Amino acid sequence: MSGVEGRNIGNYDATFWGTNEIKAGKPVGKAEGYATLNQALDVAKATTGAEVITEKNGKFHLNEVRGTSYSDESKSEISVRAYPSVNFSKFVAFTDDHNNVITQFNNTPNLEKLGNIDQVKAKLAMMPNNIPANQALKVAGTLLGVASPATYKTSEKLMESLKMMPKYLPNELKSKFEEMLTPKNLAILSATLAVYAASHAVGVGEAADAIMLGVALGFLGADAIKVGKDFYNFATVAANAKTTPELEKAAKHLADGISTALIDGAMVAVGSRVGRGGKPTTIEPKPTGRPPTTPVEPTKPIGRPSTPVEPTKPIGRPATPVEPAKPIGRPSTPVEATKPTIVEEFPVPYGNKINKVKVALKDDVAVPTGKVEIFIRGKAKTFTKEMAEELKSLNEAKKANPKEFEANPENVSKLKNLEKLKHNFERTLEMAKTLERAGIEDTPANNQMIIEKLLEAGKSVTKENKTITTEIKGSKGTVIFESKWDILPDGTKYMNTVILKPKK
Amino acid sequence: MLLENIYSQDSEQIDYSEIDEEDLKKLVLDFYDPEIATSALSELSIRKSKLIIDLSNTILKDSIGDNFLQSLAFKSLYEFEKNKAIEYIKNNYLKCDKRILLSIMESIIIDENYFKNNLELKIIARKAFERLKKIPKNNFNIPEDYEWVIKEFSL
Repeated sequence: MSGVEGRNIGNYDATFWGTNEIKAGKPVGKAEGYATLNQALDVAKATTGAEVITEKNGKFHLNEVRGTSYSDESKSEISVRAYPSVNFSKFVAFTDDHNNVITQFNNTPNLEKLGNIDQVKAKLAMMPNNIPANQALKVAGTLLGVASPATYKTSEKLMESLKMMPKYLPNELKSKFEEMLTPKNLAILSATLAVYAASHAVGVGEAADAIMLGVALGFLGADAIKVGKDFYNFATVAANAKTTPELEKAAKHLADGISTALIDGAMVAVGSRVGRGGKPTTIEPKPTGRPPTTPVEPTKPIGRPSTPVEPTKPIGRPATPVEPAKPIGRPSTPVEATKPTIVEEFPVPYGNKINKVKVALKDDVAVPTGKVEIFIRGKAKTFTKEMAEELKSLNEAKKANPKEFEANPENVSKLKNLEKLKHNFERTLEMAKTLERAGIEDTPANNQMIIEKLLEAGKSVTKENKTITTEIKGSKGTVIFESKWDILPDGTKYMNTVILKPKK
Repeated sequence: MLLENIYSQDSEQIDYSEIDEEDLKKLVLDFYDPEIATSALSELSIRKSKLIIDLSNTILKDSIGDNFLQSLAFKSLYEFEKNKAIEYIKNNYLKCDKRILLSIMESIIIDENYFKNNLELKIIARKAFERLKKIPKNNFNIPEDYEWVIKEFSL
């Protein structure tokens, strides 16, 4: 095995060695060991694009993203290592030539930025198969939180910079923009801006800047030149950024431009244009001049694998549909809610296993559809007529000859299992009745409505509050839905179960 | 380890035999997921755990969980500590929830001889039965259970 490997020796004095070319990135370029840590880190950084040293709470940590190709080229390996200050920690995710993602761990209880080893395992297990080595590198880097802007696509760089932007705004604007920059709006804006950045790469002039600014953000103030310049700086600095500070710099440019535009009264234009429920959603860029020569990659959320796996049966999280950009200020007409996406095989980790569940997914909230369409409707086939018959005959056998019955542990165990299933089944029947009594009949439309209410409820889930109470009114009464949630390792708010009670 | 993310699983997907008794007890008392709580209580009963008597007693005394969990707790108590279960019957047969009453009646019918030979208990059993008979059959989620009790009771 070869590549770039780091050892933490004393005060960050380390030796590195590398031989073969790194398949997943650029060649290492050096056959023997590196004289200094910095030299080695430079190579590692140039190779992987990862920030290899991070600082946390005043302590430095050496992180390494490593790509290796074996001499026989039978497989390539991508690894990410984190070296907390004292204990050696290692986390390896690599792909072999058959494109399987394999994981390997050393005996470490904690990994910086990732939580405990089980959470890492769960995250890795959710990675789809068939990801090429160069993407595994990025995924692995992202998992450890060490992926750097150098590995991002243009649209992702812009998205990250957009996310950083509100903190540079004056306080009175900050919250408005934070609210506006939802993940979906970020996706659409960054995709748009990527086109802009690409157009600039081929020399589109200031007129295009102004048009793009107006179209993409919805405001063009009196000081259009300053705004245009700031916007230009934002887009180009972000698009070319290789480090986080560069993205921050880009964010500052954008914040300056926005502040200027708004101070000059551009908010009036925004209010008149989008504040009345206009269509700020069609932010299709139409740059003047030559079309961009570089194709713009579709926007995908950072941190999720970018390779689609079997389009009909997504294993990973699907890319969420792009939501219309939220207008600044309060719209006078309600904005139409987006429909949730149905994911047939949503991965839900449990120990070392991954169970796949059909869910309705909206933003980062997932509701298993079976909990609504089957479970609370009393349709779960967990206690069949045959089971009921068997339970009856076991009870009769127990009654007829208790001692003989008890002497057979298999009988006892079977009876208890059936009792358990019966009680759980009865509970679902009770919930079904509760819904019927309230006039919330078992129809696809009603079930969809319930799912959407629960998806809405899931938005307010926090680490501290994972039980959410929602009331749903039917034609004859109101039902209280007590939904219980978990936050999965990737941040998805996942509804575990729901208990229904009639409102008295 | 096994408890981590357990609530994101369907109850039937969980292998309760791999969970230790203290964790099972926690799952029951948390009553975070009623199905998992019920299954955990059942597992403790199958294992004849030392925890089952106190746990069942607590569930009934403090009305933990819902009527279905309490019904199962009653049956467990009856199996492992009959005296306490009888005490529960005496104190609650006229006021307990209908689902628990049904479980009481099922236990009485299966252990008929015990009640036959004790006048006080026989009277209580009859009164409990009378109360059950007044409850309409369709108030029970599985009316066949109710019908079975009506048919089999002979004290």
